[in-house]
Amino acid sequence: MLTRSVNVDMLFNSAPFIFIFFPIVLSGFLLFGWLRCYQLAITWTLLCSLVFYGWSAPFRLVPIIVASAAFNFCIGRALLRNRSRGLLAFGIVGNLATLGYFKYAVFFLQTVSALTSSPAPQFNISLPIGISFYTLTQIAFLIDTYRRQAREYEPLKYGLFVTYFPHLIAGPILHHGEIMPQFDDPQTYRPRLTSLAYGLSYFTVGLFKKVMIADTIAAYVEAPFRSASVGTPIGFADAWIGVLSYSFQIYFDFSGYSDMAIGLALMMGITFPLNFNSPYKASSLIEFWRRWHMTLSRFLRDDLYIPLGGNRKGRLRRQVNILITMLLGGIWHGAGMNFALWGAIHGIGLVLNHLWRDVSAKPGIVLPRALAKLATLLLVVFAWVPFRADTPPAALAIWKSMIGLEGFGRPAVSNIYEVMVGIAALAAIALLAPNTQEILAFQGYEPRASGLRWRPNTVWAVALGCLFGIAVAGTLTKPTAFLYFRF
Amino acid sequence: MPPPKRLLSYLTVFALAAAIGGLGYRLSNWGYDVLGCTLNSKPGTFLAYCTSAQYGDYEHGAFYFDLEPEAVRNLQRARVLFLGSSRLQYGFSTEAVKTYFAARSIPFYLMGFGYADGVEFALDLIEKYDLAPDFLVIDTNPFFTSFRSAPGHQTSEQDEPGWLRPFARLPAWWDYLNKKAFNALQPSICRLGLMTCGATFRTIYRSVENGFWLLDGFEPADAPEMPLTAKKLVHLDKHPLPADLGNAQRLLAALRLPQNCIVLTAAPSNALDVEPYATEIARLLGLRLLLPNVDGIGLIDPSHLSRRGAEHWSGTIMSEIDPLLPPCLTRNSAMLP
Repeated sequence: MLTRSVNVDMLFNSAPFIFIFFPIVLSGFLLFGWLRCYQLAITWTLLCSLVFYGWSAPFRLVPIIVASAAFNFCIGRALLRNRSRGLLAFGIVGNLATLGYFKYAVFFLQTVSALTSSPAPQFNISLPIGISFYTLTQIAFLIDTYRRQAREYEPLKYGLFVTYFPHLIAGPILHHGEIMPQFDDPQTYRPRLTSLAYGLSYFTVGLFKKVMIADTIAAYVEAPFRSASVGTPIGFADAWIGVLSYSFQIYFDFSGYSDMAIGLALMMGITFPLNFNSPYKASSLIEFWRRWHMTLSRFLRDDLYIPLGGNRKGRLRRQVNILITMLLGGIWHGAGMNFALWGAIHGIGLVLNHLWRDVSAKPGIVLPRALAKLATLLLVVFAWVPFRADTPPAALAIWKSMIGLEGFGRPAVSNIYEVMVGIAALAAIALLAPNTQEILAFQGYEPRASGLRWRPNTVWAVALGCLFGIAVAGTLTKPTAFLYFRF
Repeated sequence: MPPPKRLLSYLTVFALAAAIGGLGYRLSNWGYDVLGCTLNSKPGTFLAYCTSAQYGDYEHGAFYFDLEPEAVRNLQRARVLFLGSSRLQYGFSTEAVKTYFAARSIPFYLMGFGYADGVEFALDLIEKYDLAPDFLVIDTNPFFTSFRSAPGHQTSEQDEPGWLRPFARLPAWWDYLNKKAFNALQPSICRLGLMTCGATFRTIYRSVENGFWLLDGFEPADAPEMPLTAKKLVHLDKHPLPADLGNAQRLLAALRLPQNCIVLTAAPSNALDVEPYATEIARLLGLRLLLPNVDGIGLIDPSHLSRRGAEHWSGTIMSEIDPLLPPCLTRNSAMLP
């Protein structure tokens, strides 16, 4: 029997986190900062981050992350003394082997077992939550060290860099150089009302997106994808409702998570890089990947695509490199052919996008912007199907329904008009409204001009306070995990 | 950079708005919906279940979180304990049972729950309240499974480590606490004459004294009956699963009762062909099985006895239990004739 289980640990949107854990962590951090005991503030946050990580299974999870951090710290130290490609390769292989064992061993053995028609061995591996993220973070760190973009550091600060709870479970994937100078800066530890007000507002917007939007629309996702998994035919309308609902569920879920992570870090004086920038407004797939999961895209570009040769080795090689990068990016999200398919679709889409740019540049053909946006969005929406489906055949069944091959019968969703209005409203928010960083313009997040700008005044306090209260009331009894936690 | 005073007032107004917004949302989204629960409150009862989506179950949390202390005290005092699911509750919430125990001054309690929970939730309560009855009646319909319903999971999920349990259960506790407050307030609110108050959703109230279900708000007493048929919807495998057997043994070990003080039964239904299974598990456990043939039994739905049918059925069961009880009732609280 081959099994894989994922523990869902402490969630940003759960009552214990909002009312117990975070207030305690923040109070301790600010107190040590106020007392100018910066090392204590770091140690405190590190220990709290380990508590956060090991919340449901401390004796299993904490040793894994501590061992991973210790391994990379030692390799990083050695790389600083001796800039050896072999050592770098050893470090990267060590990280990938760990990730491979926890994330891909079951899939690999299942595939071998299926191909050879041999019985599957008894094997049970639990995926440690967040391992994909902290492994990539540390691979990036080793590469930065090799490139001399990471300087001398201390074990405690390094430990905090890896385990820092606002980014530990689902990113953003940080570079050493983005965070370590902030840990070194005494200003970070000073209690600042500005950071608190901005951070709390950021967190609130994210919490609302997650609880009131993503979790609500999720109700319309399950049924069509489950039907596809068990081979039940799905009608045209149900397929579209399911896929569009999922497209907005994952959008607001991940956008909400990213806002909450930024908000939590801000309240503790740390500025995270942006990770999400209205991706559905993109007018090309290339632009989409500059807006969706921005720190993952950056990692894939800097630490995979460019080392593969990038665009330096000719046009054909560039297309191959893009395909490889996106395929690996897909598989990084999960061990399964459906994730590989999702990555392949995006890879092919990016190749076509580059080819189109090359072809259309000379005659000066410009696609109308609205049409380009629509085409991009449609491709992204179609590509979400294998990302959400359990298997490639299930994805194929949904696609067939979406293009009408399974008929246009009466939809199973009873309140179809309400759902369509809801989806249209979400589309309007995602496609037309200013995003969180445009509204909550803060240092480091330079906004595009937006008519809607946050100010620390009564109107905003009442509006965001109400959103916070409503979201908390909505999440109190049944907090749900973020979609990206499973990757 | 905004001045600190302005930021401080921003944070203060934010906190106030959050409290008001949260409460307002809760009241509008939750309160308005549950006000539709059919009002059938009587002294000594609580609203155990309402078909309103926002209310649903209360009885699991009421017992697990000790929100109805008098009910829990009566449960602890019970010398005869009945375990099972909704089938047990329908089958034994009868005048026949009440009269039988009242005549003998024997404290008893019906500890069955809706949602078809298996043995796990019952074990949680037995351990939590250190229940030690002298006599046990178990409806095996099928009760020895490991199944936990959503309310059973929410209140007493065992997945997390022990040190986390108090935190992990906080949201569920808060939810059930809201329902308790609602129970107390609903009659007064409904007296104000709101349009849909206390009439929309079906309800089951529960007696604090003996755990009976009061079904007047769920279905009318004169609801049409359906006959008991020989053909059942689901055929249960005669051989209990090893896990079921293990569960049964855990339950018996927790209660430490002699075998002659435990009886198994199974309320008749058209849903399950339970007899071969019950016979086999009784044999394996060395327990007495009471499955009397009672004529003219009717059902209210494929799974549950009608009130008239339940009176017949439970009356017969009580007469069969009668000679078995005296040797088991060891404590002073039992005043036998």
